[in-house]
Amino acid sequence: MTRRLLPSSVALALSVSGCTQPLRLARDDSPTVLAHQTLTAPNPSARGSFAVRTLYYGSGKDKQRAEFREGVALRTKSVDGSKFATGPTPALTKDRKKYWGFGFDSLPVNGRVWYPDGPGPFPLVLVVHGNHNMKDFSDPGYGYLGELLASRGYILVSVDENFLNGNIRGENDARGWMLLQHVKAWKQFNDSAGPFRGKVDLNNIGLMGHSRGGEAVAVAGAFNRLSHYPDDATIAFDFNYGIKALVAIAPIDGQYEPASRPTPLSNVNYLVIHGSHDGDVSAFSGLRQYQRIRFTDGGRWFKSAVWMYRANHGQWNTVWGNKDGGPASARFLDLRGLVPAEDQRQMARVYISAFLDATLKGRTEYLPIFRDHRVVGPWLPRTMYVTRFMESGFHSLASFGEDVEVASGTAPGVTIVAESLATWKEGVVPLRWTNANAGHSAVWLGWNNRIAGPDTMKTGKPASYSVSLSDSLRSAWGVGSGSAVAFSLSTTTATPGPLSAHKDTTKKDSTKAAGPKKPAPKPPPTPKKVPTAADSLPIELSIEVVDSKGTSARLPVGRYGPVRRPIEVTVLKRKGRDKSNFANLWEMIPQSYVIPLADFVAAAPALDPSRLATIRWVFDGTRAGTVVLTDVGLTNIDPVFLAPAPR
Amino acid sequence: MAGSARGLAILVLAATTAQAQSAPLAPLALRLSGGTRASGLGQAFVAGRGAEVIFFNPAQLGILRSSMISLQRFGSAATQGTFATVGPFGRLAIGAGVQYLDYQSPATTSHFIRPADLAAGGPFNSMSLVATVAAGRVIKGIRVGAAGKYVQENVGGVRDGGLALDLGVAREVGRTTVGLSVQNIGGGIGILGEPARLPTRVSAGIFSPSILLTQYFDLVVALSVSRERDGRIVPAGGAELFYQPVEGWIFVGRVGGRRVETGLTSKESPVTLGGSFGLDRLWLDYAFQPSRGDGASHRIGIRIQ
Repeated sequence: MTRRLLPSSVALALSVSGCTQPLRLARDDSPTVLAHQTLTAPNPSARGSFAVRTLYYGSGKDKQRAEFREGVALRTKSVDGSKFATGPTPALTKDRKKYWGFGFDSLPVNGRVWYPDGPGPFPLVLVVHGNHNMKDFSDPGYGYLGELLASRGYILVSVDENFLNGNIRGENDARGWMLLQHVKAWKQFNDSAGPFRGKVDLNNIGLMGHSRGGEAVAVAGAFNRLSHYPDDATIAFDFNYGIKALVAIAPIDGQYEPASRPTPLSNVNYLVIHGSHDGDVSAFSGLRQYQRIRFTDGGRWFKSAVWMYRANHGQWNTVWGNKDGGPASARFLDLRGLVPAEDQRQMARVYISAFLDATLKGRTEYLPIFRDHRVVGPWLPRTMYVTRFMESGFHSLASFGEDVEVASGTAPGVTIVAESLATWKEGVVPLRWTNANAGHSAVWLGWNNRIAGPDTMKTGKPASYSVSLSDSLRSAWGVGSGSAVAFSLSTTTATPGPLSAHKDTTKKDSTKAAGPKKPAPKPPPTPKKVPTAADSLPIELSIEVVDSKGTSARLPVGRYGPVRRPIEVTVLKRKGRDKSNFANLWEMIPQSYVIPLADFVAAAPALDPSRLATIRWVFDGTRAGTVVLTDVGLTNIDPVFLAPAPR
Repeated sequence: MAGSARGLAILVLAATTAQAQSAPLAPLALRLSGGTRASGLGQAFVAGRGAEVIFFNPAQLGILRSSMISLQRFGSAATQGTFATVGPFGRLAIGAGVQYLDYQSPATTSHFIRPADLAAGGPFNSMSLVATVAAGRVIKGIRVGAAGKYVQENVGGVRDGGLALDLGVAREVGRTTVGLSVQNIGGGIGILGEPARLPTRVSAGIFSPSILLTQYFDLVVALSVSRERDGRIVPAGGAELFYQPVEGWIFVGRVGGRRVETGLTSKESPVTLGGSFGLDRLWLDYAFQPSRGDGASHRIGIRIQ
């Protein structure tokens, strides 16, 4: 019997393991990239000096949770959200009402609060979960942030929106609107007798959200400044709270669109974080909102997007954990590649605490983190990160989306020239999802410096791509020694073929000689492309600036941030499923680089940055490759963003 | 709708009670399970889903687009083949099915034998056929369906046929499916002057949703109770344990039980066993019904759903 069972068991095990793909992780460069700490400041993930107290506020009538029933220290009025959210069907709406004990016309304003034991006033930070099983309550999952932030002098509220979870869709306006109802309640707490009287700094409010909650913070940020609800103007808004900071954790984008348009946002600090191995929101869709944020009022604002390799969707919430698709998701998600949950939360502690300190408390020493994650390498869990960054001093030379003329830039008077490129085209940056994009454009630049022919070592002049600006533009923007070149760049897997050899026009062309044509010589067989070690090495390229006198200086881009090959991600367990479910195995997330003109001057002291004429990307370090370049500009960046980069 | 279904059920119950034990039941194929999965679950399939539900309750046709084919052997003397296909079609759900039984009849005291006697064989080449077309739709949240059948029995070259009707209703209560069906309503057939009544049956049952046990295991439970035309009450039930290590690869173990005819001559076992392997939409099914003595039944099937 055993003899008969054994082969069957082996065959079964082999067939099951055969359909599961082997764990594939990219080569981790963090031992190098994160090796140095150049920022001198206390670690923002360290517990602060305040003792932490907790309490609950809410309707006091909650059917499911004692903490929001008899446990409430402060009572709040329920609000009518029926114009913002509805149930999927009458029957399911009835079921939901039966479970919760209230309908959409009577939504409770429930929150669990971690707050510092001190006189205040303290900045107010709300965090809201996203969609999940509504009966598996999500709001306790941010206790780790509550403990940290309260000890560092913040009032942290984890907002209960579990009653908007489950089987409803298109309700992210309700989620955002509810956040503003909470802020309204806090204004009352601050103005009334009670534990928070006079303790809330309502001029410094931060909103954080996870998943659908991550989109909800952008909706709340937009609603905060609107006079009316865009989808039903019979509802007047009167918020205008002091919301200075928005944090989106693995957000979705576009689930709700005010007046059927992507949510616009301006003049607010924005941080978005996302994991490569997100099994729910499997593309960095928060980049779309990142791209839509505008700085128009002359204030000091910034935005940053951080992608963490091997992080998932749920581990930023201790209730959600590693199974992004529900309790049975280990059947289809490959959980083996995930970083430990504690590492993922440590990343959140560092970034969120530093972001709030920088934006709500004016702790400028943390600002460089959001430009270049390498400056705090030892604080971060060892994995790979990509950072996008832009601050309000940025002026766009080329964003590649304003027209279809590749030789002109975004600002007037900008001209673009390419030399020896094999690929030069503009397009919309795709997301990993099929038929989805990141909401902005870029230019694809491919090169191969080798000259076609039998001599495989023969190379031509390195390919280059130049953006030139006019004198008037330079003057208008006040470009000078304090300015910096800023751009974002991603690599791709495409490798163009070698350049054609230039014809020698001094010799007679034998192919045009009289008489019968000789048969063309058979071209040598094209060798099969075999991946080599060089394909996994970082791409090297230089950036050169030239002033109007012709003085130039060149620096390696890699000094200002990693220039990695695309990082392939396999989220799904079954072999081949990632390829069939996603447009790409890798996400195109351009890394931002900010290179002070002063660094070029240090390399070539004769260079005059106030007469900057041309910025040139020179593909001189790697023989062939393709990069995607976007958000090219100049910035009069506040020096507080410029901690020394690791060398 | 539910009220009219109740009324119909009472009418048929009364009729079956009055006529109980007065004549043999035929055709034989109508007394056999039509599908492999259902066989493994003790035929507790009145609220089931998939193609083979056409043999149990036409109200359930539209749950899944599915097709199946199966082959069953009773000892070495009889073979049944079945085919069914069902699925939604616009606002309707439609389906078609065939059961064909090839067997040897002893034809001793009666021309009509019981399922328990199939494995014993006999001198007369016989066959039993059921061809079914069915349709269903949803009315006010309740699924309703009807099936028309052509039935035929051929014993030793003498045959007779007739028509039969199935009616069914089903709906979800929470996440559990509840089904009720009345099957084989019709006049009956006769062989060489011996009349047989259709095996009219009223069945009610439930089919649980997939219950998550652990991250890789699910459980499904099915229960039913039927009243047969001969007056017997037949409770039945079964459970399936699903193991899905990787999305799309599913291994299923199945056990079922149903009350069988009692008496010294009965060889049926009340226990049924089964298993399946599913790869995406393709399923291989197996069912086994032990027997006291010779004649255990083995069944294999293929499903696409």
